[in-house]
Amino acid sequence: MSEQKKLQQENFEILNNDHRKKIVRQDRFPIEAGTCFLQFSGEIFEITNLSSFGLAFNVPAFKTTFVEKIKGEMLESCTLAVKGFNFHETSIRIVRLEKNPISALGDWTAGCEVLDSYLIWENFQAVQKSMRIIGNMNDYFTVLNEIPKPFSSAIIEFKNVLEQFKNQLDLLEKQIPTDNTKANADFRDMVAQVISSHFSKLMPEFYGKIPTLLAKLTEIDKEKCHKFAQQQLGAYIYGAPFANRAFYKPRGYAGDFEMMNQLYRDNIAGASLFDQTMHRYLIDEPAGEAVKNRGTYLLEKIRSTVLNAKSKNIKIVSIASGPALEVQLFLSELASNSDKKIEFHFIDQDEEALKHAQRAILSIERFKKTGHSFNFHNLAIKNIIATGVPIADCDLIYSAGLFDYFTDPVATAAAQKIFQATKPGGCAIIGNFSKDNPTAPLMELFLEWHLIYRSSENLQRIFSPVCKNIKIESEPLKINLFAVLNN
Amino acid sequence: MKTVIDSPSVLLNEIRDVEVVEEIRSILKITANWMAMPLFLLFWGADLIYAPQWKWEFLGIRLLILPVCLGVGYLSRKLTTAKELRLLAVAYSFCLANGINMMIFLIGDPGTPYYAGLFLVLIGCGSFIPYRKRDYILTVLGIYGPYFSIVFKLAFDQADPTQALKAITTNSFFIGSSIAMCFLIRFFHENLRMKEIGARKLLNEEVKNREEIIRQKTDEGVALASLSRQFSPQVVESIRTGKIKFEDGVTKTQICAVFIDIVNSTDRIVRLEKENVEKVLTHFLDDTIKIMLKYDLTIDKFLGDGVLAFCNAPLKRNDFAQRVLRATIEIREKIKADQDFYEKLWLKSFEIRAGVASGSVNVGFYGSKKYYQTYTAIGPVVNLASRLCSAAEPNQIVTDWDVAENIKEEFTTRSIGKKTLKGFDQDMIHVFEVLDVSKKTELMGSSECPSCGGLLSLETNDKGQFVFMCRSCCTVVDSSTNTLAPEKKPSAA
Repeated sequence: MSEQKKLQQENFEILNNDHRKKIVRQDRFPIEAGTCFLQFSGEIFEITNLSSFGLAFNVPAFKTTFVEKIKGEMLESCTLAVKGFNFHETSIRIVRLEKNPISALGDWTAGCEVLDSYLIWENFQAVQKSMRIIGNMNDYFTVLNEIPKPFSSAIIEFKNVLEQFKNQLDLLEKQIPTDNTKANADFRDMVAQVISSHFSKLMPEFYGKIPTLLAKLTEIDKEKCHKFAQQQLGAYIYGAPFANRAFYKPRGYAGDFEMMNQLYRDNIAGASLFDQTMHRYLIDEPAGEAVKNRGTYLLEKIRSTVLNAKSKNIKIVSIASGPALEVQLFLSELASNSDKKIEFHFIDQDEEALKHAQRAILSIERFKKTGHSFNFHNLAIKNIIATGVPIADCDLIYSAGLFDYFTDPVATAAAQKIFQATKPGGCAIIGNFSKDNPTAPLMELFLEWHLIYRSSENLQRIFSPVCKNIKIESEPLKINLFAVLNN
Repeated sequence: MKTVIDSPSVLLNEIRDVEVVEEIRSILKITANWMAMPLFLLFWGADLIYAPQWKWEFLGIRLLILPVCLGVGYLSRKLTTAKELRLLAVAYSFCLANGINMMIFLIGDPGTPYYAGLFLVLIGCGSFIPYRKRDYILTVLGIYGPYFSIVFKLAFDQADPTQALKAITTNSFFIGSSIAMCFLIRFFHENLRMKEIGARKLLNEEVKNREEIIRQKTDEGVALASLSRQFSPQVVESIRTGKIKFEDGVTKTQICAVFIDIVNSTDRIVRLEKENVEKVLTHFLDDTIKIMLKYDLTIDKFLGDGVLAFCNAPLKRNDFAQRVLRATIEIREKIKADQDFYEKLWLKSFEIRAGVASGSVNVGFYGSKKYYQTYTAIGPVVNLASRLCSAAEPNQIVTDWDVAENIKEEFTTRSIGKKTLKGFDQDMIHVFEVLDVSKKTELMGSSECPSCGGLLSLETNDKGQFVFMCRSCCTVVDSSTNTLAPEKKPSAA
């Protein structure tokens, strides 16, 4: 038996040295398409992968003849470039030319060995990343050129101001006492209060100009301006938990129950002192104050409904109840031996909000033992508009923070359904942000929080088909209006 | 009253009878030419072994088969009905069997195995020939009647018939089983054939039905295609799905008609280049038709430079007058918006005038069914709309008191006095100009889309706001077009 046969195993063939293919066999780094090019003899080819000792480049079908001719020859002064930047010169030899099986255009691939100065992979990466940065900056300048100069100047100016504040607060943060948690918290709280009160004078001056700057732009240009402003100032604003939640909308919409909780808790929150300051500023903004005030308003309405109700059995429904803080406050102050039995119904499409409200309310009830009943309904507004409120003959139905998301026809339809569920003598209260909300530009530009603002006349108009006896009330700041529909 | 011919089972039998004729002919041809003659002559070999003393007599009997077979072959071509051919087959089997019976008689032994030849006759004729019951019985009697007569006579002629009777009895079992087997074979075969014929018949009917359906659908399609020139896609769809039934005749219906005319068109058409006139008129008519179909108006006719349309037929609409006016106002606005285009080609301001009238008319397909038919309205209302149009100033939409009174909540109108219109000389018509849609109208509308009448659904826009959007045309309903009408309060739970 010959040597070869002895060594031969099943399905294994020993190649003769003569038949051994001359292949560059080093590990290669793949190159992103359109990034790196090889230039020689007046031709340019796209490099597909490279290593220190070899590279492969793409050969279009019509250039294969040319490459075939020079295959095996030493090619001097070959330049490697990344996006027009020549970063290496060397000599190569094309050792392989074969058809690319996955190319739709019939391209070929040429494999080369590097003969002269070897490629340094890290240099290539450095050049590639630098060119990427340049590319990003070019994109930035392109976007900047598309933004109207007054707007971009205002944004950049404001960004500088916030940057200065941030730098100084970051420095201050390092000086905060750390050995005492309470002292630390108090310090932060005080700084946040002082700086945020300054913000409340500074910021409105800035974002008060925004509507004017955007007034004559098309929708597409407004969209670009919004994106630009968010990119520039996002780092300074979205660190505040309130802004972060409003912008990123983890529950799918802004103004979710956790945001309401943040308003009602009235504490600072955030990772850094600057973020905490920004958070304090946002929750103390007029819109935030108005939301806190509406809790007080609704509490008053619940009190008067219970007081004035002729029947001993009262039904109160809260639509888009959220954390239902007004009911929590009502229960907290209610005497446990009240002779009236109240049936509370909470309707919300957010199950988490309902669970939160349930936990809070039932924990109060466990303590107060009022004997009232609490019912939680996980229903979408679509269901209410389609089939109506599931509870009839209510003494009071209220909804604050929902109708701001309804266009006029939807608002009328929803109000109709809500009003139908009140009993004679009962009333429906519908809250809506007024057109006088000074925080609206900030909410829309930076927080992508688009509400539908209505005046008293607007509310009268859209609810007049539903009810003849309408009264428009408001909380003390007159930023939140309430349409009271009396049955 | 149902006739016999209508009965499905009779029809199947008739089909079967036609097949039976060919079947019997081919079987007789094979059995007579290819089986009986050769076999009969071949079995003379057996005669030489079993009955050598009768060999010449048997040969004579066997040779008698030849004219029988030839005669059967001839007659099977001549006879035309299944009944006649069955009887021929019965006679043929009788002849064949009795050749064998003669041999049995000559042999004189009741237990002779020659009776086995009768099995061949029974199988050949009884199981292949598509007999009816009566014919089968006749065949069996023809084959075995003479046989039993002969063997019983032979048995009783013997001194001790016991043995012979035993043999006859034994043979009878075989004979009986064979008769039963052949009967069952025929029975199942015939059932199968009838089922096959039934299935074939059903298939033929199905194919005919489908051809009929295809023909109907093609006609429907052609009709709908021609309808789509006059009606909006919603109306065409309603006709197609049967929601609106098109009677062949003409019906009396309340409609609102509009006549739109281009101001000074005759003068312009004469002065301008043909290509420019064509471009202008095409653009105008394209926009006009599109807007009219959007509001579910029926396009009645084009009169060169004018259009006549109406609403409330064939599709009923509660707000048909409002739709006509909205469409007309929108057409006027569209022309104003495209004024640059028009002026370039028309070389003058392009203006229209419109007349709107409502009332009762006869509506339906008029014309020749063979050559040309169109869905049109005929009545004084149409003429009134045309006269009102003539009385209108450029860019004016005029109507009469009936319409003005009907639409006063939704549209702003002003009286332009009483006029005498040609054809309506008896009365002075109080004419009103329709100015625009009233701003007060946040209409107490319906849950239908104001654009296409499609169903509204609650959706959210890209700002997270809830809107009503039309499922058909994706129009977003905002505060200037529609709100839901107040509903009745439900009773307390």
